[in-house]
Amino acid sequence: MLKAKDYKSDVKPIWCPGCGHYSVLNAITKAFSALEQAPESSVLVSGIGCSSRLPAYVNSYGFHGVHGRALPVAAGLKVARPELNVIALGGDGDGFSIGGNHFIHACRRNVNIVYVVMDNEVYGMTKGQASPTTPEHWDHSKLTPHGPEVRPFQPCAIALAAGASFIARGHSGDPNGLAKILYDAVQHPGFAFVQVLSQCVTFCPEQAQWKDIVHLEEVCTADPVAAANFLHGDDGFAKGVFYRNPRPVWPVTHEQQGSSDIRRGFAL
Amino acid sequence: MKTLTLAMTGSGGTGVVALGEMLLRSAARTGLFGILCKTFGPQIRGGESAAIIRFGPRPLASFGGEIDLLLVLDWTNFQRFADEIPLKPSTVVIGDTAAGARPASIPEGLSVASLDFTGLAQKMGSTHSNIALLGYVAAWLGCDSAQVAASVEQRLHKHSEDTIALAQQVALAGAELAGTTPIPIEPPMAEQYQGEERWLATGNQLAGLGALEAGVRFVAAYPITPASDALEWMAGKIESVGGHLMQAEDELAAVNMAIGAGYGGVPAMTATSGPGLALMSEAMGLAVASETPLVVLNVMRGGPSTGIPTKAEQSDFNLAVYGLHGDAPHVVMSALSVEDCHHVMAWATQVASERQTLVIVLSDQFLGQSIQVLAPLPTTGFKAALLSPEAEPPESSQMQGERYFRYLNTDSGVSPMAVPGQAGTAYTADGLEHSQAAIPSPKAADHELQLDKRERKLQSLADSDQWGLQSILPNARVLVLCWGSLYPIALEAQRLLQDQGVIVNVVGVRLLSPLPLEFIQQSMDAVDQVLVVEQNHLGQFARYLRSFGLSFVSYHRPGPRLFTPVEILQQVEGLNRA
Ligand SMILES: Cc1ncc(C[n+]2csc(CCOP(=O)(O)OP(=O)(O)O)c2C)c(N)n1
Ligand code: SF4
Repeated sequence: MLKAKDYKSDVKPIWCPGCGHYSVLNAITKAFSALEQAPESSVLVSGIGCSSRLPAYVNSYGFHGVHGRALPVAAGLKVARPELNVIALGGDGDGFSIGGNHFIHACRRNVNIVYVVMDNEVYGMTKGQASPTTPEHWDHSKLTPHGPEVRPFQPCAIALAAGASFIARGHSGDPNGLAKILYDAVQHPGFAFVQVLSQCVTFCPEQAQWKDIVHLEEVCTADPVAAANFLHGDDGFAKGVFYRNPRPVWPVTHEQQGSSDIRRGFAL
Repeated sequence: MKTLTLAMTGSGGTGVVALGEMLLRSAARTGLFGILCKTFGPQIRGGESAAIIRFGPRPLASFGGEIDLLLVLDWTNFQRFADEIPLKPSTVVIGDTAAGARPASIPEGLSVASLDFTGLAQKMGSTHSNIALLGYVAAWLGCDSAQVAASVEQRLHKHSEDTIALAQQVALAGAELAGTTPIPIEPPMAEQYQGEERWLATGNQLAGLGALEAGVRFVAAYPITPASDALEWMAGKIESVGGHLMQAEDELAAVNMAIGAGYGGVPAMTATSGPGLALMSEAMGLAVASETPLVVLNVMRGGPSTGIPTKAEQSDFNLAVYGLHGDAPHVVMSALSVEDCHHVMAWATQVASERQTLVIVLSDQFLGQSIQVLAPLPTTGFKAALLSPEAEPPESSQMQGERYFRYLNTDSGVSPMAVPGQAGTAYTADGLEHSQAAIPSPKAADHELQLDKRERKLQSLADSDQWGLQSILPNARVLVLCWGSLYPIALEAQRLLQDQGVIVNVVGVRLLSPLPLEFIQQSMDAVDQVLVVEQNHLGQFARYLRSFGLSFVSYHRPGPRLFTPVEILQQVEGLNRA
């Protein structure tokens, strides 16, 4: 059996010391070890951002694409090569801003992939602008000196409304708990969404407090109404699996229709 | 070759395009060849539409020019087609009695006969005057009632038996009318026909066929006119050969889905039109940088912006050739006729996979949506490899020490590509600049090496014998050089000129980038004068050729008016005078 460290590549991360993304990397390699995956059978697909650099640090296949488009690449890959374990990942800016439309449609399409969003409520790589999950009055960015003045995006509630069949939240301060969630997410048939509170020590040092306010909730339900009620009362710092309700995965297999003679229809 | 062009117009669901298609099919059953161009206004349903069909004894890949016979079910909005239905003094016009007031734009001298197709259909309890007209014209073309009945059945196969039977009766009544009130023109004649197999196909369908036959097994789709019907045709077929088609949420998703599949070793494509191609440009650069095979079929329409979605133009040349950010060498090809859509897509599929790159194929609304009668096309022999994780890992010489060099600097520029599932070669494909070992790197040396490599791997393509098609005649003094859908039109201009004793060569460039400069230079050197023709306002291809130091006379004009052979002929005559 391979150990978690066997799933690390020899590429050195570019992240700032103390960045939450290191713990997410650890959780992923732990989960891979627990899943007893052959390194070559997984593919990590990402967009652009600090978090999206992660695939190169894992001993597996990877695809580091363009900003916001990890989900379509991952879905196309999974549909074309269903035997692979495909995990899309990236940041909150990548996933909810530029990639917001893909997020919604990935939830409803239900291709069997896992999507991990390392949410630090900020654009790390472009040096600290507000992202869709930034608190309304966070005024540390030159681009929004009064704060974004917009209500933050609610990733888990939106995932539920859009039809995701697995919804969970983890915290980078708890890589073991996160590894367990990722293990479950990989096992889940269909689109599994995992929001990870992953601190940006450089642009949001206040996120160091997260470790004191996150709280474990044993609320996993298959009832969308119960899940909605929970998520509407959520303070954003609950962690655990909130919703799990498998439904048919895309592509649906149909009985073979028509002939494989694709030229037939052209004859007079 | 004697050919005949007829146009049919109508409004509000009179069914002229359906009529055109049934007529083409019936005539093909007698051995006639033909091509049908559909033209629509911007409305979704109803509104005006027109079909132009040209018939002749041999395969026809272009619309001729002036209209010999105009058939009118309804005059409403006829003037909207004034540009596309050029009448001449001898045009015969036959209208339905119920067609309404004849517009002032119909020249005074033209005789317009009125026949009661609506009444004929109504008498039999049908509202389908178009079917009565079908029977009438088909009889004049020499189709027997069984051929027409078969075409009606094929078109109406989703309707009840009663509906089909009634339509067939209405067609028969139309044919009887042809006996008493014939059309006063000599119909085109088929050459000896022994019932050889014939196809009826659009360029979009043939593009889909070429791609599937060459191995495409993943298609990502986002609807846009006039590319949608290529995707719709493939959707019905790809599953039966073991592939998948995904409808994406937008073009950004579509192209990235295709990239995901291509990275997985499954030959993949998407199809779009101008606005969609613009949205795809960022991800197309990703395919170039990450060396992922990708085919994008772009069926051009009038632009810029949403422009004229239902009609043809060749104005996406610049976007296709220059539209990527950074230095992003990629392949651009053009389809040189309806049937070449098949050939070029198959070639593109193979090139994308063997060179691990982006190939953009330019077609246009005319090629994509025209229906042509043609002899069955042979398969092309082009094939993209479906990469398998069971394959042998890249040779040890391509592994540097323990590490797999995905982006190894080889002589050919093509590096060994492993696919997920292969042990020992795990790597991260990257749009970020990277080292040969696929590790992100901002170093100048890595950047230069990878830029060189990506360009080098395409260069030898310019020597490919697939670079273009040409029709070379002894003693020609003039070359007509073109690309895309203008090739068959230029060929016809060549024949018209030959009849007048003017000998010209015609070259159609299939490979637009990298430019097959030597072949083009050779064909230019063989003549005294060169005319470059294209259907866009800026002369985009001409500007491109000039950037290679070539000189010639450029003739360009925008769509959507269909290009005609006579137009090219006149330009050649102008050259001779100058
Ligand atoms: C099309 C495009 N627009 C903008 C950018 C610039 N950009 C790079 S990373 C990034 C934001 C990343 O933030 P997030 O996804 O939250 O990830 P983090 O860096 O915080 O982990 C942006 C806007 C880009 N690369 N591409
Ligand atoms: S900027 Fe923030 S998100 Fe990026 S590496 Fe540094 S700490 Fe991590």
